[in-house]
Amino acid sequence: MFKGGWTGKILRVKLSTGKHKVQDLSKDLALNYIGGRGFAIKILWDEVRGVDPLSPDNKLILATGPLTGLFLPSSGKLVIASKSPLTGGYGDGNIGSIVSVKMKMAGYDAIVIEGASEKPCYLYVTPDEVKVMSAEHIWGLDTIRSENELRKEHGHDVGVLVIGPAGENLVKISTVLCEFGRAGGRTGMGAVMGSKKLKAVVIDGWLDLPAFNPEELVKLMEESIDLLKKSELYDKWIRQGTMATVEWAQSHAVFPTYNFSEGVFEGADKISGEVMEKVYKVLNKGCFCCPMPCGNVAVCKTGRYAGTWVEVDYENVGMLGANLGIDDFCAVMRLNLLADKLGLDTISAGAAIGFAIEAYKRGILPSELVGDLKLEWGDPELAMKLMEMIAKKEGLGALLAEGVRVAAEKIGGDAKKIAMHVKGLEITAYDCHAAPGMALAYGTSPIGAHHKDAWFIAWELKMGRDVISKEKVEKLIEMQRIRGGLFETFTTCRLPWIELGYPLDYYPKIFKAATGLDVTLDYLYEVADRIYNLMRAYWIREYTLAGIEWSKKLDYPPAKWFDEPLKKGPLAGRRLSREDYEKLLSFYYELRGWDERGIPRKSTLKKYKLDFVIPELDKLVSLKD
Amino acid sequence: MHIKFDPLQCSGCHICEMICSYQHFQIFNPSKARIRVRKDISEKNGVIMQAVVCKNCEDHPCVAACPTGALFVSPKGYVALDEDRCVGCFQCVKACPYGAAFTHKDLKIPLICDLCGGDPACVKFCPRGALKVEGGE
Repeated sequence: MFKGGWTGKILRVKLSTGKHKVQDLSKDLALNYIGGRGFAIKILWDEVRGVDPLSPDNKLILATGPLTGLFLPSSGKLVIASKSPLTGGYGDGNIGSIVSVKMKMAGYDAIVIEGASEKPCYLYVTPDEVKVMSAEHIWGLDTIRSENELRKEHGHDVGVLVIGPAGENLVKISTVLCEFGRAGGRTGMGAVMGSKKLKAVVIDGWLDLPAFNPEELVKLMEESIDLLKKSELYDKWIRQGTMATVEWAQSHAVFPTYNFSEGVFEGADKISGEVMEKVYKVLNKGCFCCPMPCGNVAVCKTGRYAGTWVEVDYENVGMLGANLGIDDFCAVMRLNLLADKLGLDTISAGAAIGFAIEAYKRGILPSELVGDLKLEWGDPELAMKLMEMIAKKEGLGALLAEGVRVAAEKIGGDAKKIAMHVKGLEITAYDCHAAPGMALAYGTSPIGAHHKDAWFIAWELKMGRDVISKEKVEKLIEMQRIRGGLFETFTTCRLPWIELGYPLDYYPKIFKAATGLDVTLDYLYEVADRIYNLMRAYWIREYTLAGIEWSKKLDYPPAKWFDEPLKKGPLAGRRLSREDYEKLLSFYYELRGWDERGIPRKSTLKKYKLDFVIPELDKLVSLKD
Repeated sequence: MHIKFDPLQCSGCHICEMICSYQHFQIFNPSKARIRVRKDISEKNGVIMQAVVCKNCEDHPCVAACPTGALFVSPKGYVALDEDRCVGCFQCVKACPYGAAFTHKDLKIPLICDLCGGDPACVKFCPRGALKVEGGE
């Protein structure tokens, strides 16, 4: 049925019985949802309804798209999705991994993992077999050792996804790792695997990758590599990658500091891209078919943390450095490595530890949880201890393991104000005291506060921080369409376009060469909007079924940004205005075709061929026309 | 001449494998490539890159092991395979001291770098300049 791009098969595995079946990929799913996130949300809408995310009834979806693994820039991406135990809504993550390529070489576009195993297990998939195997020997091991063990058993070239102790212990801020430090699924996908007693997924494949016109793909790739390397930004990108953002964020006062209390950090110079490049960096590491590798492998050679090596990037350094007041680059690297080994999300771990320190300093952290801990800014040893405690769910760690939303609810009182999250997902490394558009990007991100759908901050600063207009929101939606729609469904990396200006016009040409199908960017944008509406509908359904009333308040950023102005730096005194935020949010709903509660209107659902959503959602929240 | 690999420039992107499989079979399949890139880990240095590719040994143990003469050294000095004469015994694969002769489940021939007849596609496509042609003919 498919001439290329898709393999045309979906693998379904039931861990409770160890049985599997192979399904044909339907034309509807391929053409109307494309791949990756599109497949994931459609399967979740149809099949995962009102369940406890950590129960066997939840499903874990590993999905590629029609461009994944093919000969085009940065094609080795995988979407890991499930109903999120951290947020209670739609959760996904995007991981750069050879697993995605191997999945297609094993003959599958997606793998849906259902049920739960009684004993620790891992899934082994090849074109010839699907086996649920015992993971007793690696249960409890850190992610790096686990991956090495599995490679020893199955050959070095297999693709491996693995969880660490955090995922095993159902820590809700746990993630999934691969290739020694590449992580994805910060919406608690590690815990979903843990709840299924699924330590790892190992995939080997040797089938030809499905491509309609390989010759054309080679021609386009040759042009693309040339184009990317000619970009005037290429040289700095290769030297520093996302780490150049440290200096940029600091200069624009959006660098998250002391649990997002400030936008400038006095120690920023010590943890900058420049320092990394000059002192610590040893290698560029990248994903499959990536001509512009972003991975900065860095090694600390001297001092207390000598021997620490890790792949560093902006988010990790922002959240484990400035946000915790830590200005020792080697200590930040050690924290990053520890989080990777434990299988903890670096961003949420930084947010959770920052939350704990601030709560302690405000005197609102219950003393029985504090014990003899001294929670101070700038203390890497404390942060490491807390990370271990989170992964093991010990004492204060058990509270933080639930994520900051739940932690704040349990503490009560003012704790809510300093819990930096949206819909339960911790905010990533951009302070928004003076960035209302970026705050809206966090507020409306379809997985909770994350920047992958709209890294709006750079646009916003160009456009003007204080601009409150429909145009600003239109631009934000356009970014969500491209980043959260196109790239999450192609399931390829967005960075060639974002960082080096790779023209989007290439993608219809690549799509044609991959699949044989003519599509326009407008067609793909329509798919993106369909998926956005379905993700939204999923959140509303699952929250309503869980007894939470859906309201626009759920799309609000944390109160701290509204109520507590910046005290330092060039923007001292600045804070978000509720009135301005309301305006932006209203524009957003209007442009999306959603009502004043942020719920898609019937007409909008019909427009995007989501008629099947209407009866169920209407019964729960009475849809408006 | 042979392909020289620089582990400090390689990012592990596998573009070399993809273009190799295309060059020889007009498809994309890293497991049908004649060069293989691996990310490995050492406690000291973190991630290190490795590549396995034909070194074009002077004494060509693979060619010496071939019982039918299918594998030979071309006049220009690189290994070549006459597929019609290859019986698929894979003695060449066993003979390679570097593990740089590969097999694939669906193929009855060995996969050994032939330097694309003198202008290797992997070298041309490597975006980081980690692969270079070294030595003359």
